[in-house]
Amino acid sequence: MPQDMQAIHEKVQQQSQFVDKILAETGKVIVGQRRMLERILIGILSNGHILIEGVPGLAKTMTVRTISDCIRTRFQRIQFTPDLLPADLIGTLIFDQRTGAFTPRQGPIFANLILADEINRAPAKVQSALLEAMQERQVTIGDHTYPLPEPFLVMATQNPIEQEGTYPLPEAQVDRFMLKILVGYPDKAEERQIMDRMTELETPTAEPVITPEEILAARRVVSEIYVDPKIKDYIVDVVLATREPKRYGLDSLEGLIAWGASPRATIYLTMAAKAHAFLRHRGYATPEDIKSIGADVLRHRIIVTYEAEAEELTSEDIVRQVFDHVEIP
Amino acid sequence: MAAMILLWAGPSLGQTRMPQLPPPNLGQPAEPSPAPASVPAAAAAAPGEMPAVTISARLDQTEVHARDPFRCTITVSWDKKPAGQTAELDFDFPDPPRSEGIRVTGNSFKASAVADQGAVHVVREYTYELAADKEGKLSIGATAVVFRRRGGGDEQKLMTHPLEITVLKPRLRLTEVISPHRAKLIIVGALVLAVAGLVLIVVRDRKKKAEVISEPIETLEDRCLRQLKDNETHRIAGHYAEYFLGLAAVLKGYLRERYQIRTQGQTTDKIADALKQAADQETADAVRNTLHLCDRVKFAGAQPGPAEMDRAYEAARSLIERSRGMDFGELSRAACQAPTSN
Repeated sequence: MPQDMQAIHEKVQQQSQFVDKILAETGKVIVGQRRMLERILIGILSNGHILIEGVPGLAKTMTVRTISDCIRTRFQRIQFTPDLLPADLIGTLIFDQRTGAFTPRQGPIFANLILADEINRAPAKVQSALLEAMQERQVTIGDHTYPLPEPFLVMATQNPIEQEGTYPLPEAQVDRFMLKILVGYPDKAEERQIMDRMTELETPTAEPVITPEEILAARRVVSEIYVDPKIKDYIVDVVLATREPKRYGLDSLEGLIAWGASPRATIYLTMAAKAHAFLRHRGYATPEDIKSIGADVLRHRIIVTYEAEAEELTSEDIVRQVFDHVEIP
Repeated sequence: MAAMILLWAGPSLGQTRMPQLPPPNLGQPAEPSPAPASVPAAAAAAPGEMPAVTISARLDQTEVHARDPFRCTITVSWDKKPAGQTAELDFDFPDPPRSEGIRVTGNSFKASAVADQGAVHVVREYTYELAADKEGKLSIGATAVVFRRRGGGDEQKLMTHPLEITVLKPRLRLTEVISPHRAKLIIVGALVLAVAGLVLIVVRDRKKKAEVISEPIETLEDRCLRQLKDNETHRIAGHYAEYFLGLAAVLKGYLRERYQIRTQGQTTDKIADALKQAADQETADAVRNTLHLCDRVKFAGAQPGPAEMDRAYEAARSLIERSRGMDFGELSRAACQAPTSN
């Protein structure tokens, strides 16, 4: 291994120690859901926001809260409701009678970790305010623009059922989330463990094991992780295969994809792969990283056609076919 | 314009006709001749002029095997002037060209005439079929050609020049060496030998095939171990990347064939997870570590030291050795049924 590569590798192995600690701490509270935990850590490490989708009761909120407990940082949970206003989210100007002036009052968005619970229940103007803040990483209240604290990560949840009275996120806004995680049910053993753990009088809690500064330092290391040109080509091939499936021998997908993944997908896939390699204590990315994280990066960036819907094909199926077909280096 | 008229051509005569011919006089001194061969003879005129007759003799071969046929042709020719100016001639059949060791087996005669501006050129050819019974250089003496004016008178006699022929050993004829009955036996024997030879070839061919089949077949393990050893050449040449790529290829190929695990287009962890279903945890871990090392070389430009190379080689070798002779039927089915999603 070249000297600089060796240095990166050693640095990653050293800096990624906290990952195991966080997983151990969250493991005290959360049973299973290792995949969701890792994805949230990937979002934290690569500065990308996360959309979590799953039916109620799968510990989405608890997982985010537990991770925030592990990081000695400021956490805010915002319950999105139909009557929520943008000012309730970002803050507003309050008139001070004593001074006779308007003073800014920052909203709950001024935190390191934001849990936007059931984001699809708030109207579009609130969603837009949040998504703008996510993108710009700053909020304007009155005449002043306030930067959001670092690290700043939004984890939004949405419920795939009960769509009545909801405001589904437009595709363009969904694209701003780095990862869309699908949360599934625990298996039998995990279910039994959950029952035992959560029916006690005292529920377990996680202890803080890392500071925001350490997170920022880890992010710098993640950005240095080596991505071989072969891996870069693989990423590009995967993304292009969603746009021109026929060119990659995926004739069966021809006419099923209305819109393929955007260049933002290429960027996020690379960043997520680096973070995944960091979680595996590696200083370099492998195809394993791309394949592991690929579906979470791509599933919400591919819009299927009516024909695909008629065939009951989802973007998830298309992503799976793309990864099965595109040759790994 | 010249026109050729064939006057007469006689068939070849058999041996039986020969007694009718004049007695042989080859080798005998010729009668006094008024002119040498090929020289026009002076002839009397009434009722026409005696024409100038020329004669020649030739053999169709200069070398011949004893008892093989050859021909001697005596040609007589003269010109006839128009309007009966030239006398009509009568010829005796020439003496057969005999010699010691040569016999006549037949004869034939051919005559032709070519008219040209009133004049006619007449040619007569007397051909003798001969055969030599004696080997060596034989001499055929001069032959006399006697002719006269039709109705008699003015008889003339011309002599051909002597000829020579070399007689070689007679050709070997099977029927002369062996009797026909024996020849049949020989042919039958040859056929039997040919059939026996064919049978021998077929038997030998089958035996060869049987030997090929009975040769020890290289097992999957033997082949993979040989490939691992072959791959060492990269290491000796200092091509570390190629060495690890080769090692990974051999290992993946082995896992694919032995455990029916899909390795093409699969990541290291996927392969190791599938192997865990088919083999034991220890094997899966060994494969995972080895393939991860190969990935490090491939995707991070790592240059492992000799110790790591030894470990990788040993891990691959021991995995293959351990799997030798195991029953993988059930394990493979388990591997096939193993979930492939993350």
